[in-house]
Amino acid sequence: MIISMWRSLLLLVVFVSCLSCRRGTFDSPKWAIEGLCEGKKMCVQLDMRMWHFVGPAQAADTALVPLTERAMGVPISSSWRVSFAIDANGLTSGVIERKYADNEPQYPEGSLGLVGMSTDDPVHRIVLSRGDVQWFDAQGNELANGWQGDEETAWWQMFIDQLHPRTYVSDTLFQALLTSMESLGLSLTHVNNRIAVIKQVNNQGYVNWVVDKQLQVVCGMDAYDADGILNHSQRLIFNSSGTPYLYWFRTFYDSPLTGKRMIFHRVAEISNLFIE
Amino acid sequence: MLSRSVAVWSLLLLIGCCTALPLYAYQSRNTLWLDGLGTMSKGWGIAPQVMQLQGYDLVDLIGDELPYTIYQPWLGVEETAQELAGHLAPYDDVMVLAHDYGGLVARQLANISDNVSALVLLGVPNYGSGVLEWAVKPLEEPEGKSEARVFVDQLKVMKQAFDCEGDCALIESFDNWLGELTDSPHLYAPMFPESPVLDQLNQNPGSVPYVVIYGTVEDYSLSGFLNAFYFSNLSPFGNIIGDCEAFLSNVKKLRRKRALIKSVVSSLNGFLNNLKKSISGISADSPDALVGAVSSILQQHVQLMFEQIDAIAKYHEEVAKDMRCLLLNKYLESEWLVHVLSDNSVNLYELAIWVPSYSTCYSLCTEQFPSDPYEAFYDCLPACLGEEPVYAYVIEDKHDGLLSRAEQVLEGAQKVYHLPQRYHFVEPRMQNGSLLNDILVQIFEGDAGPAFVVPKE
Repeated sequence: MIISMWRSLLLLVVFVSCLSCRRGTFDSPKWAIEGLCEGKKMCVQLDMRMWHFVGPAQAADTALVPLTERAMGVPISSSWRVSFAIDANGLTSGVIERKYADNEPQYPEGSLGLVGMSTDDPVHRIVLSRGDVQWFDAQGNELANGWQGDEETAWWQMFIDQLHPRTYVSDTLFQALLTSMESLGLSLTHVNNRIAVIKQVNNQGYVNWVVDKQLQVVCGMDAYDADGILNHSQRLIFNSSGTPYLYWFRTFYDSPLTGKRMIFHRVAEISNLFIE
Repeated sequence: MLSRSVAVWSLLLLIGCCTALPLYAYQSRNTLWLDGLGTMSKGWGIAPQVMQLQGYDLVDLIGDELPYTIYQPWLGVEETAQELAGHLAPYDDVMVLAHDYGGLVARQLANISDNVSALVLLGVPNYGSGVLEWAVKPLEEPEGKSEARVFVDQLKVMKQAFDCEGDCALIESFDNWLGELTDSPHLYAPMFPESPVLDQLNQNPGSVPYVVIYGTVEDYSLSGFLNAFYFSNLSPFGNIIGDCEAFLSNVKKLRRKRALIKSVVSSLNGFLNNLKKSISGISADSPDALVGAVSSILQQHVQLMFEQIDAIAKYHEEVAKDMRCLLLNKYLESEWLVHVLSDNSVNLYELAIWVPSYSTCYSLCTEQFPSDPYEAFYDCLPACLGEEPVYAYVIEDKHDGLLSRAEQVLEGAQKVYHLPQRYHFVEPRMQNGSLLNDILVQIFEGDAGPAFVVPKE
């Protein structure tokens, strides 16, 4: 899950972040891996603390949640440092490593919600070396290895190509861009001065793309099924300086115990983000 | 006078010798080793022989003296005990060592047979099993299914709807085990809390002394429990069943996603950025003209744009699907444990831990902006977030994966022993030098009293 989570997160974070990311030199001590960025086309480092928990979709249902779900409602965390570089051929090198933050909650021994939860995820370290991938457990034993593959390489090459310095246009022009979306069959809903929502109908239902008009980025997505019921959703939340610091993914489902609409939340806190 | 006195002393000595003879003369100890039900116990295996090899002079009645067929637990506790009692008639001073369901049979046997002189109860549901009741006891509706069966059927339907093929086999493995149990629910009924059999046994404890050995494990998970059943917990690969977050399944899922995003290797924001660059030089006399000019540029990119946003949407769909599939396994794990611990004598207590207030703030903000989820996230949430205490539910009692300590430890035992790190199924499995071996040595040496002594050759 960690792999899919951080990739999903990178889809949004990195593209949004370069408008506000902190710039550093390749040899700056801020980089956890010395020499990681040398000769590379792009270098990324971020710390990520991930939480997951379940809860009712309607706050009014909180009192009806049975013990099983209350236990699953205790937020569980795991922290990771993601450091990697991409060379001109699209090959990745770096380390994705489990780390233990000082401020992580002290779960008491025998916590019901922890049983079978991801705190026992065997993967503690993923090492990328020019396309080679190795997975290691907490004791340093290799669990598996592999090669990133052609598709993966192509993905990273395009990833670099897309990482141009962010372009800003005037508010008027950006508004015209949003309005023009309607000519493509998308419907546009202006929610307020800061947010615009673009509705895209597809075979499964429709998706609302949330655009931050001030930052001129896509900052959220809500996917609805054919019956108009919210299926899953994501949000990227920014701090006051415009830096993304929370990635929030919600998956909606009906409780197998009560039938009530519930949400599986996954929240990633992003910090110490550097991109070169 | 002297001759009379010699005669009296000789008589007394003879009487003394004769009466003392059973205490001091060499005599094998009759033992009866009773397994639990096959779905819950791997049985004693070679345990009697392991003890014999260490010099304990015991007769393993079933096997050494009597055919295996005399123990037929499917007849029910009372009938099985009755059957055994008939076969035990020629043997006296029998010590019964019993695991799981076999312990209930042993207790019943001790009540009806004068030949039983001691009981060793290992991992016995002396006060019933809450999780077995949940797993097996038929509800009136629907269709007489057990609570667990209804729940698992629901999970299976959801798993199919979520297209969770290729996921870990936790639900399927549990379903298989449950199927074996629910095939004959009457067999397990005596082990439900407050069953008539248990009530009768617990209200009439009898006079035969007994010791209790209760098992516990450190890993409370259902996946660990099922691995112990299907693989005797000896797999060199660790837990095979239910290792739902293992790297291998992640790699598989990652490959699926790679294929999905193969043709679209950009993001909507990257595309938006390109669009902004494309239109950055446009100017027009009026807003309408500006929109018209931008639209004409957009038309040139429309195909790529839709490909990209469709692929991103599908990617998120995959992430959501993975989360749901994982969640179903979490539900089963959590629900299982709640029922393992459902016995009244097991304590769950709440302990506050400090975590970010995501859950509370989410509730507050979505309540505050019910018709405007964007405001909830982009104004309310960042302002609300902080830290708060939440309650963790802490398991106070121990269990062996199936039975809590409280369910096993029968009041009035001569002595209570603890067998750690053994799943219920494999508690009676032993080898020389194992913890169970050490416990049995203590018992046989008289640690719990003379009734449990087994002589050495």
